[in-house]
Amino acid sequence: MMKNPSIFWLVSYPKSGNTWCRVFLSNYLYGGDAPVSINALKDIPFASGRSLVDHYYGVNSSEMTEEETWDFRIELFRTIHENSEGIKIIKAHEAYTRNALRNFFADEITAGVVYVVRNPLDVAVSLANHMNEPVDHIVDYMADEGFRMSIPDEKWKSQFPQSLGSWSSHVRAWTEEYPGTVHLIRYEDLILNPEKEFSRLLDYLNQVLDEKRLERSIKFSCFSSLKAQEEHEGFREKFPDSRVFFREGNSGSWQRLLSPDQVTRVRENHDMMMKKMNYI
Amino acid sequence: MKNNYYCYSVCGLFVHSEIELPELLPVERLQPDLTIVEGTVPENLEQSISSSLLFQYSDEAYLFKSRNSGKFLLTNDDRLIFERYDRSSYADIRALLLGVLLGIVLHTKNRFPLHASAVDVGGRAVLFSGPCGSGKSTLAAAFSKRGFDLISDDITVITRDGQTLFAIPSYPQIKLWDDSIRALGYAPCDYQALRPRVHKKRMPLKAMSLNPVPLSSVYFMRAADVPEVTIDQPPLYEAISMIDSNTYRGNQFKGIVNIKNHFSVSCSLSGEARIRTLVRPTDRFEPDALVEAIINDLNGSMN
Repeated sequence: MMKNPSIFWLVSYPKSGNTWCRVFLSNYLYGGDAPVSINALKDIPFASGRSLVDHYYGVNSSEMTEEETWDFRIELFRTIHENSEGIKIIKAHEAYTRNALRNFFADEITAGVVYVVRNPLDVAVSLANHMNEPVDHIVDYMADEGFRMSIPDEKWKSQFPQSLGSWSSHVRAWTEEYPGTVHLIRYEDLILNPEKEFSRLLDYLNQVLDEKRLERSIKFSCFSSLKAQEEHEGFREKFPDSRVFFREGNSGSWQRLLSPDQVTRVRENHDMMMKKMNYI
Repeated sequence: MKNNYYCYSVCGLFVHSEIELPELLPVERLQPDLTIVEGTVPENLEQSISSSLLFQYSDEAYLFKSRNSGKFLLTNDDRLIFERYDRSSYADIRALLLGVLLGIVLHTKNRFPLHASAVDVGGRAVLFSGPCGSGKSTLAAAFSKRGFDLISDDITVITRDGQTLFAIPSYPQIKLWDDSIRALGYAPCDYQALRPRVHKKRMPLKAMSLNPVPLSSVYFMRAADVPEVTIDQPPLYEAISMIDSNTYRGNQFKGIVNIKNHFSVSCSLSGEARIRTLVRPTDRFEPDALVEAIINDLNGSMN
């Protein structure tokens, strides 16, 4: 008998609150009395981490072509599904656009999708810090349908290349074109009312709500806790060129950090989707 | 048997190949442990015990399929047949032969491959192990530049002969990224890519060890937010765990790995070799300083 789909994909454009949700869920589903280390989130793996494939198959994925690695990744996700007890959550940033990549999120293994969206004006600020590049470049990337991260070049990369495309098409593809159910979380709502939003998330994941556990997991995944952990032990998922991963953890910092011209460009580029997501 | 085979030695195996494998060390014709031929490979194995998108195996054969590059069939009469797709090149085939397939062959031959590069320091093998990106190949290249012979890059087979553990030579090439080539003081443009559409380069070497080298030390490398390079002796349980996690024992080897042999070599390694952890700062990789640190550490242990 075929096993029921078990994988929930935790998807977002980069710097939109994915890690926050991942740390919360790691604490709620797998944690105990002490906070789960931000460097030990292996129970909720990252779909684009090379080490996952390299370690599982004993191969060197950086010596394969990108297309060759797709089969390994598709098969690995299938194996994770086959071996899972209960649900399994996998973090991803991939756009749901290119045919080849859609195979990652195959129906037979996918129980659902959690999509986290954040105001693109704040994403621009945060992504500029993450990639250590001027905001003007980031504004262009976020409007580029061909935008990819971790593209192989002269250095070894710990992540597979990820096709993101523009912010608008990323949000559109996941919230409108993806044929299955999608649970949408706005980053800004999470900040305003984490209890309510995380309870809704747990409900979508078919988890029994335990108020004490919820409260503790929210505390262990709050911004100051994550920032303190990063200051103390570093965060291995931080890009090598950026200073810190957990920067401000708020919404609206674009108002003091973006120029009027940058704000206009972001709004023009993403007018329709920003309206749809209640950012304008 | 045809006479027009190329003859090579790799990881202690004698290989006959219909296609040229310029990465490998040519040797005199000997009874082969493996014969590589181009031919037709089936889509599926009959009576396969385990089957997935990429790997299938039965009592008679092992099948690996890469939808983009080709199909590979390893039979239990030691033939490795490959079928190349039009869209791939022989460089693609060679990369898979020397990567995924070599791993499978070594396991079926009951060899113990460690994820490590190895160099010959004064007649003793010194290994650098760790995950991809930890710097083991760069460090091996830095030793090679100083005149020490390479034993192996990336995969090192360890065997026991009597009371001694040996590191077995693979082939005279180190695979490096451009930033490492520059850190070593070379120019990336002087080196060829491993294969089309892959950025990593191959650095062929003129000199390397030709015979098994008695094993001295294994340094498990990792990068961390530390100010300086540190070398420490880990407790035994940690040494065993590091050996275990750097052993090639992927999912596709299930059913072919000889657990008993693996366990025995793992235990010997943790008990008989000098095991050290080497932690270097994440933000910089200074090959010369690392070579000095290791040579000092090796000298210290001899005094």
